[in-house]
Amino acid sequence: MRLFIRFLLLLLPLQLSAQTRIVFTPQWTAQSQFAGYYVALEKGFYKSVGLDVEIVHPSVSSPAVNRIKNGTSDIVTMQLLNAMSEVSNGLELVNLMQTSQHSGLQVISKDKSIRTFEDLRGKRVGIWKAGFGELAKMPDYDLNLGIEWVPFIQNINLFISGAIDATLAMSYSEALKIKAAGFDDVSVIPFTGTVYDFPDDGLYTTRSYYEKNRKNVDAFVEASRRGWEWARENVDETVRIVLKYTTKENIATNYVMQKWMLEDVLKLQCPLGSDYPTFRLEKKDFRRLDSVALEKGIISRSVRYEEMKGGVR
Amino acid sequence: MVVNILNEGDAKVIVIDGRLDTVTAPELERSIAPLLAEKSQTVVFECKGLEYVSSSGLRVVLSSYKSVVSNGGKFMLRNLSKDVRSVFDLTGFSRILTIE
Amino acid sequence: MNIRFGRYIHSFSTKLSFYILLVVALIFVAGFVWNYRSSRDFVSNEAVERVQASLDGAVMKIDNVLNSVETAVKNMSWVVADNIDDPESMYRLTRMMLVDNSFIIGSAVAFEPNYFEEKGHYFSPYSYRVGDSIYNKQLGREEYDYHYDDWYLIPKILGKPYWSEPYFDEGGADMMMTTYSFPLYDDEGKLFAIFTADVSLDWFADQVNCISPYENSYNIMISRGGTFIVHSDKSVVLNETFFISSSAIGDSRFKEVGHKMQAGERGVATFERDGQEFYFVYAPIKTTGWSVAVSCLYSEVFAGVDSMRNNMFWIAAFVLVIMAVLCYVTIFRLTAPLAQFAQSANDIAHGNFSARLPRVKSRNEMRMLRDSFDYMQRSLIKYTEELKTTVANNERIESELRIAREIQLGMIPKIFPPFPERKDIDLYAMLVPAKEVGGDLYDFFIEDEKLYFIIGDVSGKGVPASLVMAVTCRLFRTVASHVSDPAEIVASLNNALAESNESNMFCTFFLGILDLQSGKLLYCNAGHNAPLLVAPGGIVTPLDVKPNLPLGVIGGFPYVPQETMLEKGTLLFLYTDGVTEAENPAKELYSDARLKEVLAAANSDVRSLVNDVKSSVDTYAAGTEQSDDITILCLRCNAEEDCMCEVEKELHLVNELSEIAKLPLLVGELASEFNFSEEQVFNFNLVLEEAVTNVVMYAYPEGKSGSIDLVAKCDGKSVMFVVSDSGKPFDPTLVPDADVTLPAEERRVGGLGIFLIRQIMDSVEYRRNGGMNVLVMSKKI
Repeated sequence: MRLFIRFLLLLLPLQLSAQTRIVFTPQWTAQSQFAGYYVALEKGFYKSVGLDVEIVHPSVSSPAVNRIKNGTSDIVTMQLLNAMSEVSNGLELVNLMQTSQHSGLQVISKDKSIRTFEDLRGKRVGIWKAGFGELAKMPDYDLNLGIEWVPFIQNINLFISGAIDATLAMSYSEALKIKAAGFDDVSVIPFTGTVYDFPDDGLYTTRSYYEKNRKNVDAFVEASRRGWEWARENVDETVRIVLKYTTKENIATNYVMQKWMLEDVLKLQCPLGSDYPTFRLEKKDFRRLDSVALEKGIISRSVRYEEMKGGVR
Repeated sequence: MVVNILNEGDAKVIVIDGRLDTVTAPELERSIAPLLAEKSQTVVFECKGLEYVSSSGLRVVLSSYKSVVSNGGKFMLRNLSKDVRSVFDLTGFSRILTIE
Repeated sequence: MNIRFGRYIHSFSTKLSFYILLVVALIFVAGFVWNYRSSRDFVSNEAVERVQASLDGAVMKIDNVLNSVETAVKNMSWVVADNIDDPESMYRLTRMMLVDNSFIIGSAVAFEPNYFEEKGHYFSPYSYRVGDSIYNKQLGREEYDYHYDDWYLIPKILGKPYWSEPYFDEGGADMMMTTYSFPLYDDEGKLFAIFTADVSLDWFADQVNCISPYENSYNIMISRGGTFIVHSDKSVVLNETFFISSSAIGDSRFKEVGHKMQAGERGVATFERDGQEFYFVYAPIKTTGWSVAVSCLYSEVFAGVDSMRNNMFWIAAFVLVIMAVLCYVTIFRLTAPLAQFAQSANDIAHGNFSARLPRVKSRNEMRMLRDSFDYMQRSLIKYTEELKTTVANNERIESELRIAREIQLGMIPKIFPPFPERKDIDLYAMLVPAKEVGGDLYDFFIEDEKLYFIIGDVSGKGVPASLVMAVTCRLFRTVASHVSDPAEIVASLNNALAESNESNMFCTFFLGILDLQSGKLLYCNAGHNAPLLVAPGGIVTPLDVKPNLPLGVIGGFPYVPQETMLEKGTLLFLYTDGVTEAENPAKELYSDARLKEVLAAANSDVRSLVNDVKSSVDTYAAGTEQSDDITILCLRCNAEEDCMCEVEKELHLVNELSEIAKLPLLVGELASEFNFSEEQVFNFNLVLEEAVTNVVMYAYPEGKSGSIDLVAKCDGKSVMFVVSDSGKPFDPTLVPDADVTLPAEERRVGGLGIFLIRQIMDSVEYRRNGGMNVLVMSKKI
C-alpha cells in the first residue's frame, strides 16, 4: 500500500505535464457571474481532474460566441436564448450545464407607482443597445404597452438623471449599480416568476468538441459544478477570488459589488421553491422558451431539446 | 554571789556562783568592767554555780556581750541551769547569745 | 501596626480631611465636567462652522468655475448656430472655447446622425488640450457611437443642458473629467447637435483637497450617483460609490447621509468608525448636484479641549493632593490637643489634679476647652482642699466626742475582777457604747461589807445624756456614802435630777445594796427593766421589782424599797434595753426570750456569762450598727462560802534594794505550805523581785523613803501577789514589753522586768486605789 502511494507520488509530475488543456471563455468580463469557474481553477478542482484550464475573457472584437465558433475557446458560457438562436442558425452547441434557472431581468423605476408591466404603458424605458433585449421586449409585445425604448450602453446615469422613466436591468449587474448609486428605494418589476422567466446562463461547447473530448468535458463540468458549490459555501472567500480576476482584467469594481452580484447569481441558480441548484436544463423550460422565441421570431426554427442535450442530466 | 575570773588559754572565764539579782548585778558589772575594755578576747560566763538570775542580771549579761562584741571579741555563756536557762529562753536571750 | 493604622483611619484628621476632600473633589469634578462640556460644545460649534466655511469656500470656487463654463458654452452656442452652414468651422469654434477658457480641456459639437449628409452618421468636431497644445479631431466613428454616450443621450432626452457624471477619459486627455452638454436646436426646435465642454476634475479635486481644517481631516466629493470623485484612497475614485462604502461599513446612517448629499442638502453628521468618532460636514455643488464632505476626527477637533482637560485633571489632582496634605496637617494640628486632653482627663481621673494641659495658643474652641479644663482642675483642687478641712473638722469633733465618751467611761469602774482579794463576791460589768455618746451607766463599790451597785439608762443620746449620766453617777457616789436605805438614795437622786431638769431628761435606774455576809439584797427600782436571776442549773427568773418612775420625772416621788435574799451561787443579771433591743439586719429585736435562753445555757462564771451574752447579741446583730449603749452587770454572791484553805502572808518593806533579799523568805514560807516546785519558787522569787525592784526604782523620788506592802495569798489552786505602795502613780503594765525578738545590739536594757512578770503570771493588773498603787499578780498552780 505504502509502496503504491510512493509510486503515485513519483507519477505526479508526469501526470501534470500530461494534463488536457481547455480554454474556457465566459460571456462577459470578469465578475461574480462566473465565480464558480474561477473557484474551480483557483482551488485546483480542474487540475485534480487532469485539466489544464485557461480562462480567457471575451472582448468587443472577440465575444464568446465568436470564440467558440472559430475554436479559440473550447467551452463558453451563454444565455440559453442566445445559444438557441445560434443553434437555430446552424451552430451545433451542446448545453453542458445550466447554471442560471431564472432570468435576472428586471424593470427598475424611481417612480414607486410603477409596479407591474402594465404600469409601463407609454413610458420611456431604457434598454441595452446590444443584447438581452429580445426577451425584455416580450411583455411590451404581448401587452402592447407602447413603451418608448431608449437604447443605452450604460444605463446608470440615464436612470439617475431622470432622462428615462424606468430601465431594464439585470438583477446581478445594472440593478446593483443603481443600488450602489444610492437608489435602493426603487420600484422593481422582476421577470422571475413571470411567464417571461426562462433559464439563462449555461455552459456550452460545440457538438464536435463534445464528441471528441467527452470525458474531459464531463470532467470540466463536474469540476465547475464543484466550484459553484464551493462558492455557495464560501461566499466571502469566493468574492476575494473573483476580485483577483477583476484586478487582473483591470475591471473597476469592488468587494461589495461583487458580493452582491455573487449572492444574486447563486439565488438565480436555484429552481423556484428550492435552496439548492440542479445545474440541469429542464426540458419544459426549454420547450416553453423555444415556442416563445419562435413566436417572436427570435429564432428562425424550432430547436429540439435533444439537439442541445449533453453534460448534466 | 561570788565572782571569779580565770584565764583559760586566750579566753577569760568569769565564774559566777550564787544569785545574780538586782542587788548583786552591780557587783558583777563592776568587777568585770576593766576586763571588758580589752580588745579581741573571748569572754566566757561560767554559770555552773549560778542559782538565780533576774532582769538586772540579764542586763549585765547583755551589756557585757555588747561591749565584748563591739571590741571585736567573742562572748559566750556555759553550763546554765534549767531554771536560769528558762529565763534566758523567755527573754529571747538564748537566741542572741552563744550558750554552750 | 494594624492598630496604629486603624487609629489613623478613624482619627478626626483623616475623617475630616476625607470629607472635605470628597466635597472639594465633587465640586472639582462638577466644574470640570461642566467646563469640559461647554468648551467641547463651543469647540464643536466653532469647528463645524470653521469646516463649513472652508467647505463653502471650496464649493463656491467650484461652482464659479462650473458656472463660467456654462456661460461660455451658452455664449458660444450662438456662434455655433450662426456657423451651422460650415461644418468645418466647428473645429475653429471648439478650439476657441479652449483658448478662451482655461478650465475647458475639451469641447465638441456632436451632431445628430447624418445632420450633414456629406459627414455621414457620425460627425463630432472635437478640440482637446494636451499640455499647452490644442488638437482637433472628429470623435464619432463606427466603433464609437457617441450618440449613446451619457453626455449626448441624456441632454438629448432631457432637452436641457446636462453635467455628466465624472468619468475617466481614455480617448483624449487621459484624465478624470466631466462634460457639460448643451443641446442645440434648429429654428424648428429640432435637436441637431450637443455642444460640449470637458472640464478636468483634477482642479476640482485640488480645490476639495485644499480644505484641510485639521491635519488628519479628509475630504470626499461624490457625484449624483454617489461615485467618489475625490477620496483619500485613489483606488475607489470612480470605482466605488458612497453607498458601497456605507454598505461595507454597515452603518445605515451613512446611507441616510448619502441620500441627503444626493438630495443637495448640507449638514453635519457624526459617525464612528474603527473606534474613532468623527464629524462629517457636507455641502452640495449646486451646479452639478455633486456633494463635498469633510470628515474630521473628534480627537483632532477636541485635541485642544482634551489637552486642556488633561491639564486641568492634573492640576486638579495636584491641588487635591496639596489640599489633602494641608487639610490633614491643619486638622491634625487643630485636634492634636484633643488626644492630650484625653490624657490629661485620664490623669485627673487618677487624682493628678495638676496634670499638665496641652498648650493652646490660638483663641478658639480648643482654647475654651483648655480653659474649662483649667477651671475644672482648680475647682477640683479647691474642692479637695475644702473637703480635707471638713474631714479634719469632722475628725476633730469626732475625736472630741470620743474623748468625752472616754471621760464618761472613765467614770465607771472597769477593772475586773474589781475585788480580787474578796472571794465572797464575783462581779463583772460591761458597757459597750453605741457610736454616739450614750447615757447608760453602772457603778458599784463596797462599803462596810455591803456592795452598792447601780445600773441605769438615761433617756436620749449624745452629750446631754452623757452629762446626765455623769451627774447621776457622781450623785450616787455622794449620796450612797451617807445613806444606806436604797429608796432614800433613789429618792434623793430623783429629787436632784428633777430639780434642775430643764431639758426633761430622765433616767431609768436600779439600785441594789447587797450584804456580802448575809446575802441580803436591798433594792429600789426607778423605771428600769427588771434584773434577772439565774439560779444554778440555768433557771432564769426576773427579780420582783416595783416599776416606780424613772429618775428626774417628778421630784418627791415616793420610791418603794424592796428586799430579797440572794441565794449562794445565784447570779443577778442586770442590763439595759440596749441588750434586748439590739437589732438584726431585718430590724428585728434581740428580745427578752432570746436573752433568757442564752442565760439559761450560759457559763456560771460572771465574766464569761457576760461575754457569752454579748457575743450572742453581736452574732444576732450580724454587723448591724449598734443603735444604743449595751450595758450589762452581773454579780454572784458567795457569801457563805468558807475559804478554809487560803493562806495569806504579808510582808512590809521599805524602798531599799537590799530588801529584795527578804523576798525568798516569803516565797519559801508559801512553798513549804503548798509544796511549790523548785521552778515555781524560782519564778515567784523572780516575779516578786521584779515587781519590788520596780517600786524601789520608780515609785518614790530619789532619797525619799516609802513603804511597800506585799500580800501573798494561796488557796492551793492559785497564787496571788498584791504589791501596794503609796508612791507616785505608776502603772508598770503600761511599760512596753521589751522586744525579745530584737538582736542583742538593739536591745534596750529596760522593760525586761514587767515582761518577765507577764510571762510567768496568768494575770497582772494594776489599779490606783486610795492613793495607792496596787499591782495584783495571780497565777493558777
